[in-house]
Amino acid sequence: MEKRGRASILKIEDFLLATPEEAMHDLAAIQFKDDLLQRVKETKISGLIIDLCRIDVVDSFMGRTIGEIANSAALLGAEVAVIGLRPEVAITMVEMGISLGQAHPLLNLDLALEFLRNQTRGA
Amino acid sequence: MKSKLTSAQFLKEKQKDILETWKKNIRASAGRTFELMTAAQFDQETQSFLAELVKAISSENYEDITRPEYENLLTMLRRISSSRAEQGFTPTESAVFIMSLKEAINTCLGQEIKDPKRLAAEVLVMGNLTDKLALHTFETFVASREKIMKEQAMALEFSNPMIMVWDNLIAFPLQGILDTHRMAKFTTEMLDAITRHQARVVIVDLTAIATMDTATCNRLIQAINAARLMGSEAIITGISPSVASSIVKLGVDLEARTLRELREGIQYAFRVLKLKVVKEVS
Repeated sequence: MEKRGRASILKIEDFLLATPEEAMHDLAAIQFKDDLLQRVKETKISGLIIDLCRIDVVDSFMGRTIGEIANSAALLGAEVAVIGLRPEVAITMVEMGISLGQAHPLLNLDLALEFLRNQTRGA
Repeated sequence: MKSKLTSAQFLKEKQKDILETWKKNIRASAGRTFELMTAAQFDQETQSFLAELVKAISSENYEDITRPEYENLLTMLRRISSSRAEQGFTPTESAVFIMSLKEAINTCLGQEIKDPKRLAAEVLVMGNLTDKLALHTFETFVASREKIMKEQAMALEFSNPMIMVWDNLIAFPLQGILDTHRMAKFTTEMLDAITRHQARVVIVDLTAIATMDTATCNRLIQAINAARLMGSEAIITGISPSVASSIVKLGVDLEARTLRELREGIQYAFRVLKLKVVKEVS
């Protein structure tokens, strides 16, 4: 495990699991995005899982950044799954009209792995 | 000679015109009246109320509404105003019902009676009578409103029942009168249940919901979108025609699967969960 900014990034199977530690301010979010995309490029992984279980606030910038990560990762050949979104975070995001772009929201790590495996097999 | 007619006789003769003017007045001012009730209900209510009023004042008693000839009229009025309170009308929207009748009667009186002195006298008499009826409406409305508020406060205490249909499949049969408060509470309950039970599919069953205003529908749509963000699919079953038209009026895309009845919802959920119901061969 390796710490970049304030997020831990783990490798699992053919995928990366990124867990931001706490609510990120805008700069940290950009850092997070850049690091993650760099890693996707370097390691040639086929999927990315972003776990938001430690995040208790997703502001519009953070939401957009996750969307951007998903869309850019897709261009680099990696699908993005988002897991662990808390109920109160989900409802705030809906009220504020924040979307996750091309990222696929999933319930838990099991389902995310299953989803990404299927995607890779399909490709 | 028309000018010799008493108010009661006049009203009886002009009943049709008054009814039309009255309905027109309500339409012009009643805001959400037609969002909350059907045109047929409305026609029936206005027509039978006016008929009853004509019957009551044929006794030439314009003063004392506690007399027996007004009994039917008052019963009807109480029924109308308490049903308005239940349907979520505002006080203004309910008061418009009687207030606009007064206007309609005055308009018709004005067209028929040319002698200004007599007109003033008749308008005053009918005005007093309708004011009394309006006060009565208002009292009933407030009383029913208070009763409903108490009931709703009690209903809020209870949480919406959740049914664990299968692993990763939960269902919420919603019931009672849904307003934005209850819907907000339901949203948190539903999202919490999704995390707790790792529900991949949530069935929101609206079979027992007759009507839903647009604000509440909007909340429901938000709840469904929030569930999607968490990685769960919410589907709606048993939607009634009036709820359907509320959603259409909102002009938003529901983006959720809607199915006719609960069983279809369960069938669909089983497909998502890759489950199969097989009949045992004996």
